[in-house]
Amino acid sequence: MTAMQISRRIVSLWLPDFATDRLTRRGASHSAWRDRPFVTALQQQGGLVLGAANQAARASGLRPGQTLADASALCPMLKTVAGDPLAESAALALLARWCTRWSPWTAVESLGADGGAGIWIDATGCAHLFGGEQALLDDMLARLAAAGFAALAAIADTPGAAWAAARFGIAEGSSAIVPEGAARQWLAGLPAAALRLPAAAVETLHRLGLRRVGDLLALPRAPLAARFGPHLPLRLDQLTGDAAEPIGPERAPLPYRARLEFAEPIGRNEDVIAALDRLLESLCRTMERDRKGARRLALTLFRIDGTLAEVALGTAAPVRDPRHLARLFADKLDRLDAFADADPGNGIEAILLAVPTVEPLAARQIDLPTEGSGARDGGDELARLVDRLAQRLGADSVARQAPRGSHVPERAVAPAAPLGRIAGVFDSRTTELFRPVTLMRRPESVETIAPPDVAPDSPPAAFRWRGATRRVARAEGPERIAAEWWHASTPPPPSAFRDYWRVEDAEGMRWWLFRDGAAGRWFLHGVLA
Amino acid sequence: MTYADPATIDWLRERIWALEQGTAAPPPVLALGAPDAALPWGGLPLARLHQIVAADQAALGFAAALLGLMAVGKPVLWCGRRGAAAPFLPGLAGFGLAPQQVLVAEAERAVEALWTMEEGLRCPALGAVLGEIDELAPAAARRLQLAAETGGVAGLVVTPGRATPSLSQSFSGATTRWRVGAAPSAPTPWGGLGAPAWHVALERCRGGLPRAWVLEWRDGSFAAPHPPAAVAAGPSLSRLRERVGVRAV
Repeated sequence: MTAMQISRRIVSLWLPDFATDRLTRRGASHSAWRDRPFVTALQQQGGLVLGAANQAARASGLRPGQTLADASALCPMLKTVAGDPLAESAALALLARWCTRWSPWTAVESLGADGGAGIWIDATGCAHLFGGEQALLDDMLARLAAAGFAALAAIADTPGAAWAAARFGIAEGSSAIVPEGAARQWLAGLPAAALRLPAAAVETLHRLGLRRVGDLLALPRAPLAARFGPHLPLRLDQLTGDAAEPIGPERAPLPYRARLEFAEPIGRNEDVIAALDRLLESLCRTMERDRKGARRLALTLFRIDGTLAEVALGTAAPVRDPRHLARLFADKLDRLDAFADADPGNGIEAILLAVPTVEPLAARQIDLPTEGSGARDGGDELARLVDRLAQRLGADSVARQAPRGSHVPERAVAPAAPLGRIAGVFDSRTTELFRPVTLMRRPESVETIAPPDVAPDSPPAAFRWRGATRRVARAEGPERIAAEWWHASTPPPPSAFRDYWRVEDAEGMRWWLFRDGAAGRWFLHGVLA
Repeated sequence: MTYADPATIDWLRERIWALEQGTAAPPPVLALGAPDAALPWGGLPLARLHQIVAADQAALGFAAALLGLMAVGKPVLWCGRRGAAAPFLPGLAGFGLAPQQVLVAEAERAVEALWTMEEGLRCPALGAVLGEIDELAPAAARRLQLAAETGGVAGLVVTPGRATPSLSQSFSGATTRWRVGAAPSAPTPWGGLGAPAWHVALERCRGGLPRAWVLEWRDGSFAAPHPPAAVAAGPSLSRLRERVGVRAV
């Protein structure tokens, strides 16, 4: 590590009873078994074996990997549930995300078959926000304990060192700090297993008398690699920081994020909105400085029990007006039942606002209201309107129609974004009053009174639609619209065309009818002006 | 002088208008042609809510034409019902509505449609808002009316017409209420369809005269239908005749 680099500080969280804590913590399905023997069972060759065992079960002499028959004999009062690795893994991922409250970089480290789990948290430059490293670790452990998870935590310069300290180096209490640059000395006394090696390798080292990390650190790396393969030297280098070990966060951290913690958990919608207002103020100031505007925002509400509620929204144009964004969120929060099931003991203790997508937004010039300034602000007003409509009605319910260059009516328009420029217009010489004002979602079959086969190219004398018979007074047509053969993989038959007629009935209503070339039947496709 | 000069009369008219309406200035007015004389404003006031009771489906065409006139180049919001026939931009092009300026919103429920209209009417960037609403209750109309005055946006509510008018149809909070249905178009020499025409009746308007007209859409505005003789002399028609090869008598 060069002197120029800022040293990383990584937290390794070790949750030895994650699998059983998940099921027995307050509010979970088996919370009654928290202090009584409780195990998960896994199906293996030869029958059921213990997966995870909680503390009470271990105190009765049960060990992961035992057969369930043996375990039941040792401990008749045992409560057993089927282990569910997929659910455990999902719960751990959620917990890792919950840990983003301390740092944006968090990742799942491992989930063992014995129910233990680990989480990485890159706390580089974060500790001072919580009053120092010890206070940070204390806060983590206290909050995890409140959420019902037993945990140990260690912080060090490298993931390897933090991992070793969390699992093997904690002498008393439940946290350890490996000071900056002190990993070698601090960890030298730990057993070789602290190097994250397979059990077989540890056993071999043990037989050779290489029992401590310090024994191995003292040896030259090349012979070690020759004897044990490249894995062992790599782990040693990762411990000391000589080899880089990135931790892949589940989600890339975002440059625009702001977080607020509450001394007392909150449960009311208004409180969340008040807190959100403060975050929006600060984020919008940051975006103003960078001349950016938000296109997508995500609000995460952290509950005491380690669960999350998330609200995401998008905007039609870059926005950094906190009042407008607050209104958009208020509409969504109203319908969020995050509060419905929030009992007073399970309130929201922190909120995080992030802006995953930003776009350039020029700095606003503040000028005096003059004649015509309304026109320039029009785009902004319109963007707000579109945002509000899209939030309430759904993003795909607000759109425009752009010309698509097709004669087939259904294909003549393409949905277009509500804002921005639309290239092209409909040619008013060809379309003016020749196309319907409203087009039916799909053409509706009509009954023609005079059979059309009198003369194939003539309009019907009358037609019947939705129970009403309409006598055709005048008609114009036919306008033949053929299938677009260049879109099809096989050429359409010559009968794939429609003959459109503009028809006026006795009352003056005007209809857009067509005769389908293949079926010879008549359809109504729209109402003309 | 025994008579006041026209400027003073105009000033007094504005004052009286302001006292009656509680607003500072009368809204800009859209000239419709023949119906202007029956309207106390000398035209259709923009920045107000107007209701069109649809006697049949043709009323939507009339509303679209009106929307194009009200827009005066600004964007418009068309608030339709999800699942119903959607506005078709190629057809709206004839009423001067370009794809660029027509925003289409689809609402699932009546409450959402009214909310959408209200939001649109409060947005000064829009020129006009058209909403297809099943029933316009007086309270809802009042809200939309206020929104239209606040935002300075013209509002059009198209409601289906029913044989027997309900209470809300006999009274509405809209500034004007019209009943619109199809009218046969003027005959053409080639036997085709003439310019679109509508029966338009002014049903309710304070200080207005309830009357009915037949209006035709011609050359980008509403006009009284040509009597057949006048049709024959129309300049646009003579051009058409040349095109279809009919000689003038």
